[in-house]
Amino acid sequence: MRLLKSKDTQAFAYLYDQYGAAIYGIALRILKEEGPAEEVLQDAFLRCWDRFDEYNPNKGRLFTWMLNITRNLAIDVLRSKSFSKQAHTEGIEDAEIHWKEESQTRTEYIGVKDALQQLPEEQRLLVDLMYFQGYSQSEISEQFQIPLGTVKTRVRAAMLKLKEIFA
Amino acid sequence: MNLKEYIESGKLEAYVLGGLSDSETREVERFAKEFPEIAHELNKIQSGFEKYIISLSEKPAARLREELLDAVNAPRPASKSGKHLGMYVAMAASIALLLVFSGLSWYFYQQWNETQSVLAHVQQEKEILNKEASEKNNTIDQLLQYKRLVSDTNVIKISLAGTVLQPQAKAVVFYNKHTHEIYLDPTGLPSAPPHQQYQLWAIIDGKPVDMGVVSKDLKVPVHPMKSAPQFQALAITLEILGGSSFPTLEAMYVLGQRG
Repeated sequence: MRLLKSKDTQAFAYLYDQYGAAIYGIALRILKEEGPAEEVLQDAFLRCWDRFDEYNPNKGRLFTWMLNITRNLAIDVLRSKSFSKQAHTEGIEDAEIHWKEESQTRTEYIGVKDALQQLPEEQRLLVDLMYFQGYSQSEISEQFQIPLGTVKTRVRAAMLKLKEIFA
Repeated sequence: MNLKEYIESGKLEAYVLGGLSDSETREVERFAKEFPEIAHELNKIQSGFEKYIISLSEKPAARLREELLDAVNAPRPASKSGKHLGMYVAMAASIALLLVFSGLSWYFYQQWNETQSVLAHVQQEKEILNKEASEKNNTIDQLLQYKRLVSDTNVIKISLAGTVLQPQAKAVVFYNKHTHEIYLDPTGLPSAPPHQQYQLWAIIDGKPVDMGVVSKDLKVPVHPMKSAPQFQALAITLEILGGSSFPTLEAMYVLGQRG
């Protein structure tokens, strides 16, 4: 039993060493604060560890699965009341701000190293809203008054551009 | 459905970015299962996006690793939502533990079963192989013995020819002049009926003398028989199982004179 356990710990350490930085990176990118990001990092790893038997290799890569868990946790934190009080000034309800205004305040969050910087502004913002802030495409369409078709086209263009950058 | 159109619609990208509603998400997953082209495209988008995500990597503080490893090793700490929940957490933990144990028991039981059947299989196989090996060894021994008899200058070979009863039947006897040992090669005899077996007789001074019954396995080329200091002829008859005290002459299959 002890052997099993020590083996478990080894596997966990390996998982952490392999993906820890990426998981922390995405948590930090979503939450923009070290403390909450560290908490998400730990929660995410414990959750992945607990639910490891739910991971189905046929449905996707392990990294994708872990990323999804992390992103969901981080976005839950982002949307939780206590967090939005300290960090965020607006929730979804009062988000109907004009696109231009919005993009100016939001893009400040995007770090200089972030490859999103190389994307045209309207594409950059879409990826940011969707992936890092958890907006669905229809929410974006409604709240920023962009036709859904345009959202889709821009999202695709943005992803193609990102793929090019990292090809 | 037009796959190309679907792939180019931007839906797959939105899926990877987590921007689809639940029903749309399920739709994409269903299509990915159904159409390999979609699964392939989805995989490409995902791996491309993951490269971007990896580029955002930030090294977390070293203490976090230690804390996590401790947390994984130690029993899971109670939920942060309060002390009054402790009881429920304990209950849940007990249930979880019970489930884990049942699961483990089941798992080990299955493993044990599987191991048992594998073991049985292996043992069976081993028995077969052993049997084959010992049969081969026997055959080799017999052939070596046969060869020794044939090449031994003290051994004379006596051919017994088929009688009217069974003209094509034949047998060979090897007789050692010094030790008087007699070996029979019955491979040329027709197989004996179920309740009967062959018996070898030596004709000594005109009288038949029992030289022993021939075991039913006629494929064995060297059967040791009783020894006889001298004889004029040899004959084989078909007798009841266990042999007779006097040969049934009507059932004489082969006969040979000592040359």
